[in-house]
Amino acid sequence: MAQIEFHELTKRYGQVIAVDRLTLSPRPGRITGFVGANGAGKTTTIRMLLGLTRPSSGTATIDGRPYAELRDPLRSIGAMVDPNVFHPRRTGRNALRVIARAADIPEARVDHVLALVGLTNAARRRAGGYSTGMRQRLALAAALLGDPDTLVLDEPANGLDPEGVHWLRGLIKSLAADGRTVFVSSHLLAELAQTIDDVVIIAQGRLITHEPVSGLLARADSASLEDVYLELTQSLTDSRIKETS
Amino acid sequence: MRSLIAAELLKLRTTRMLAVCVGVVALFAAALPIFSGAVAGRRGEPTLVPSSLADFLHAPAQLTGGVVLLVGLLAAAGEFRHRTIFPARLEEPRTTRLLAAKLITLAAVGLVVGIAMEAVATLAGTIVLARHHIAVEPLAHGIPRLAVILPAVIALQGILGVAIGALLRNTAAAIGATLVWAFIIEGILPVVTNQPHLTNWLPSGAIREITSNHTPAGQLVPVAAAAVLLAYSAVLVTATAILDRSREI
Repeated sequence: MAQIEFHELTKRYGQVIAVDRLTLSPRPGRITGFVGANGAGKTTTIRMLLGLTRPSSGTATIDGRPYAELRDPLRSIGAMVDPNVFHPRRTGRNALRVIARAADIPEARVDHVLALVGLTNAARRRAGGYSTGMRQRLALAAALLGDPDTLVLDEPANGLDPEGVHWLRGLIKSLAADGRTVFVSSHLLAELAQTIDDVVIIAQGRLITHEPVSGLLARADSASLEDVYLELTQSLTDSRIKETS
Repeated sequence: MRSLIAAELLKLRTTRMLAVCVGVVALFAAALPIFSGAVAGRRGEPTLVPSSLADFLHAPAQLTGGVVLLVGLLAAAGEFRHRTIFPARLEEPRTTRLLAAKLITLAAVGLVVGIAMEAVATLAGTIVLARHHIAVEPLAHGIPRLAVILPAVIALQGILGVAIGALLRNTAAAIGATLVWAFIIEGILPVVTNQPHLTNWLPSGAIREITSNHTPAGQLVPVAAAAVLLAYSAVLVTATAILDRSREI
């Protein structure tokens, strides 16, 4: 099972620090929620893990190696970074066939993952005509193509209707039940709380906490992840405001 | 690398771009001899002669090269436009291998399209010449040389297209820059520098010289012109490969 590790990971865009010395390692075999407000640094962190963005300093590794050095990346780690990554004139099935062909994945797997995400009937339609929810499902299918034991999902519930969110929750749980590690970012806390085992909270690029959800709720004496999140991040926001004033 | 090339070919096969471009080339290659045959000898138009077959082969090559360059350019820059570069980079994080696969694929596509263009032009030209009772001499008039050189030059234009598209990462900018270079800069440079022969050392001039049957004084011999074109391709590809390693997406 692939071990994800962030060590002192930092990303600066000029004066702005998007990710600030982030050190953490999601536990293998568990669903870890990566929680933070918009602009907290979640997507940047995931993009650095996947080699799409270069860290200013620090490292993001999978089994001790940067993504770029993985021999067979799609079979090690399945990633969903953005649902809008498919050619609009290519059918959903062909979009997956292209990925499968490049990674030497048998074509039968394409139909299998399309069925898994419920897109079999729309497989031969052009991706440009897909709804946001369907594109999310297609992106998820792409992440599952290599049958990886680790999944990194960036805001997978964005754009999904309530039925889609319910379906996604079930899928993530069933993937984790197969022994996979799932690292999922979101700002939909109420939804995430029903799915995850562990939670990583970041604010303004900094790690606030990384612990099991049950432990965090018990420690904070609260029933709501949302309340705990707001309490933890508010203090950081207050201190930043004081610093700047 | 084989899988990456297979994926690049699949990308081209699963959108209409390549099919439309090949259709345009085939239509032009077939229409040109038919049109030439229809107007031959009228209103000062030259009559058909056995060497016309070489002209039929030569004439659509410029359009074919331009079309293959456009396909290469759209294939490379289109990855950024449609954001398909994300799954591509996840499949193969080593940017140089990704670029190499695209370059090899478009070179192969250029070669095949070039050969197809020649086949259509030869077939149509042969029929037109035969109908005008003119001898068909496919092994004379420099035709065998053209048959080998034209697909190779068209393949090289596919490589140039990919390099430009990958370098600029924007389809409109890549098409605009190519047009400005070909139609403005290449026209202005020899005038500004007062070096009329400079045009032979620029990409379009080099392409012209490679396929030329005769070399007047001051022009490059075909081998030198080929070397010039290869040098341009090498510089562009190297620059793209180096930049690709440091640029984020």
